Amino acid sequence: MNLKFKKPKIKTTVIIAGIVLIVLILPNLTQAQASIIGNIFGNLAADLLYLLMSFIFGVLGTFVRIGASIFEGMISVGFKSHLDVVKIGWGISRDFANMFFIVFMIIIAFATILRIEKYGIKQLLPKVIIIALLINFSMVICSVIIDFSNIGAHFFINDIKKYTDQGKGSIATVLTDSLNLTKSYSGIDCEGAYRSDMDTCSQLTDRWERQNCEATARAWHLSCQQAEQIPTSGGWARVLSLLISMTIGSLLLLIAAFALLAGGIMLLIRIVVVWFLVMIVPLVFLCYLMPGLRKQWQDWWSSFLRWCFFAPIYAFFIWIVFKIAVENKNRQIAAQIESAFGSFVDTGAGGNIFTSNPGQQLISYGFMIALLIGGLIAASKMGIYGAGTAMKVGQKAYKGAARWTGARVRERAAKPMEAVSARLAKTIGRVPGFKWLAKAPAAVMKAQRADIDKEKKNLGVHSMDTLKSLYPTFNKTQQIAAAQLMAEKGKLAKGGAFKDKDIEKIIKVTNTYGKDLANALLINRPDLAPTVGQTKKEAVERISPAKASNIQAEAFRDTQTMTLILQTFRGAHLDKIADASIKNANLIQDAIHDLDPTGTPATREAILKVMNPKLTVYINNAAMKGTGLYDFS
Amino acid sequence: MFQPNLTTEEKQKRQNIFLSLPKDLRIAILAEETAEKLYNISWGKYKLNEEQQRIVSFTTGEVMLGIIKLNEFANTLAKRLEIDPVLAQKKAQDIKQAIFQPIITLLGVAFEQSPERRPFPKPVVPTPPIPPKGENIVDLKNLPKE
Repeated sequence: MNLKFKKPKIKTTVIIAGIVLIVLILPNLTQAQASIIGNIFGNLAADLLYLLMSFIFGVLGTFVRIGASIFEGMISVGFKSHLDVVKIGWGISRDFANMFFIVFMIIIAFATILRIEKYGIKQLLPKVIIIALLINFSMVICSVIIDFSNIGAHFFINDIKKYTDQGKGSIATVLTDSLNLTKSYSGIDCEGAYRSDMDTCSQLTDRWERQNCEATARAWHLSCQQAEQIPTSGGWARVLSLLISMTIGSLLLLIAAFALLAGGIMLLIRIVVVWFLVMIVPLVFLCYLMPGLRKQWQDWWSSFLRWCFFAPIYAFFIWIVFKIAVENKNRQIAAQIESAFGSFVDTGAGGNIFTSNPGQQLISYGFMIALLIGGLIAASKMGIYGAGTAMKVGQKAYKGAARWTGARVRERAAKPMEAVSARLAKTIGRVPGFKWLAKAPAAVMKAQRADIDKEKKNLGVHSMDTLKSLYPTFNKTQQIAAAQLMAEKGKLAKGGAFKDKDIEKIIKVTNTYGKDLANALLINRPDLAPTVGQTKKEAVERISPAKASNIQAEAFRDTQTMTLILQTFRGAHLDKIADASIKNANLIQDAIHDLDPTGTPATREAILKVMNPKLTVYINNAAMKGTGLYDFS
Repeated sequence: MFQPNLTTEEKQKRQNIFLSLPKDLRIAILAEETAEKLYNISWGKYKLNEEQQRIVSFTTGEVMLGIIKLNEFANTLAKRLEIDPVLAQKKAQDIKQAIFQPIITLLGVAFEQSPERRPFPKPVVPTPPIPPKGENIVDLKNLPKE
């Protein structure tokens, strides 16, 4: 029926009539009838949503295919040697650079006459000769480096091609398949096909043949349901699950398209940049001769090497993604994790694998996307222009999304996530072929370390008093950095706004960022070693004579720590302690006296001799005794 | 035998003196190496017992702090160790050679700076004899006429 509303009045009348009809009819319906009507409307909405979802996924899937195709095209272009193109440009800049050698010879002559040693014959002539040779061979040198990086990239790309040649499809096809684009949303009508099969079977006259046919149809139906996850119930639950699947699925597909497209564009930029860099290389070599332009020489090398080696690094990530996709490892690992952590919520009312088993599918997607983004991050870390921009775009989008969902949730989730990631790493490590993924936390830790080092540099300009007074205003990374700075100077003691409780707390926090960082703090406070699960003995034994001066008075006041110090330390330790603080040396002197408070020097000496014979020799012969310190009396 | 028995005030006073010394001299007083040298002399060479070792290091410390004059070092050792002055002189000489000699300049500077401390004798550097001018030169102008 094709209703056309020409006037708004008629439209309003029809809507009002519809509402009145529903109001009149609904109270007279039984519960079962209401449920049936609800299901009809729900299914109608679900079907409409399914159509919309298919359309959106179709569009996004095309984006992924376009991204993957561009990337595929770029890798096949980028890894061929195109140095012929740059030969013309390189030749011109080489001739131009050669011209400068005459100028250099004149400069050397004048500098030698005027006795300016910096530009004199001794300083400059050997360099001029070497650079003159290198300029003429610069093309060869660059070619070797480019070829070397291309061979690295080829290794991975050839491996990918090996699969594509075997008929597994192009990179784009394999990736879209691994993201379940083609299978999940194919919309095969398992129920319809089953009914049709059963009708056909019922027409068979032979009983044995009919039974056989029905068994085959049932088996096919079961396998179809398992593969396509035909919805088991309808209604509004299906609408909800479709909405969830649509939102998350779209987001993930968008990320995949973005990562592949960005990679392809960066490979294109690489070709142009490397060409340009090779063209100007003779001039760059010339810069080496002029001390004022030496920076340009360094910058050129850094850019050239980074761009060259970007290709194998990014190719490595794509190879990993491809390999996982081809071997279906993403699904295997998702299943393994899901079984280790228990089942995720199963809505059981979707139209595809995603909605019927969202946990497994999410993890599977997550792996693929994380690896694609990983390639971009690696490129960004190498300082590639373009990768940085792509990352910034991604970060801006992420920040917007984070604001929308609420930044607090992220912050609160951070701590449990640390524990979860550690468990995940363990689980992943057990999956054959995925042990390397267990190393991911180490990479995270490395990044955290870099942040701490950066903050240490920033805060290093402040005095210890300033750091202590500003301490409560610092974020966690800054607090760790400030504590490290205090510990290095032997000043990890309360002062200003830095309280006693802060010391214990920061040692605990620092320990989560790395045991060695916590150990650096424990040099100042070995008495607090048990707070991070270490023994005081371990902490005291780690202290070298050079670091003994950093031990704080609070540690000397702890009887157990003091006993360990007397048992472990040598004269060199005591020497440094007294040099840094006479007060602390007096605390050691008191401890020596307390070995036998009522005894004689001889009895105290005898006790210490059993504990630490070497230290006894030092104390017997230390000239410091003239001040009343380091003595048995 | 001598027992170093310092009062708290005396210890405090001596520690203040120690803190006012030049850094290099403080390091020398504290150094494990100094203690090792004293041990090698006291035990290694003269077989002194632990109590005697403590007296030697205490007295050496006093010299380094400027409390005892360097030229009184041997006599003080003899009295405190209750040994023959000649033997004490030998020990003192060995300690001077091993401990004081490398830091002799520091000791001099430290004690010149503070008027409270006793002056420390500067080492006398023997100068080579200067031969009289023209001893072997024959003045042909003033030759006696014969």
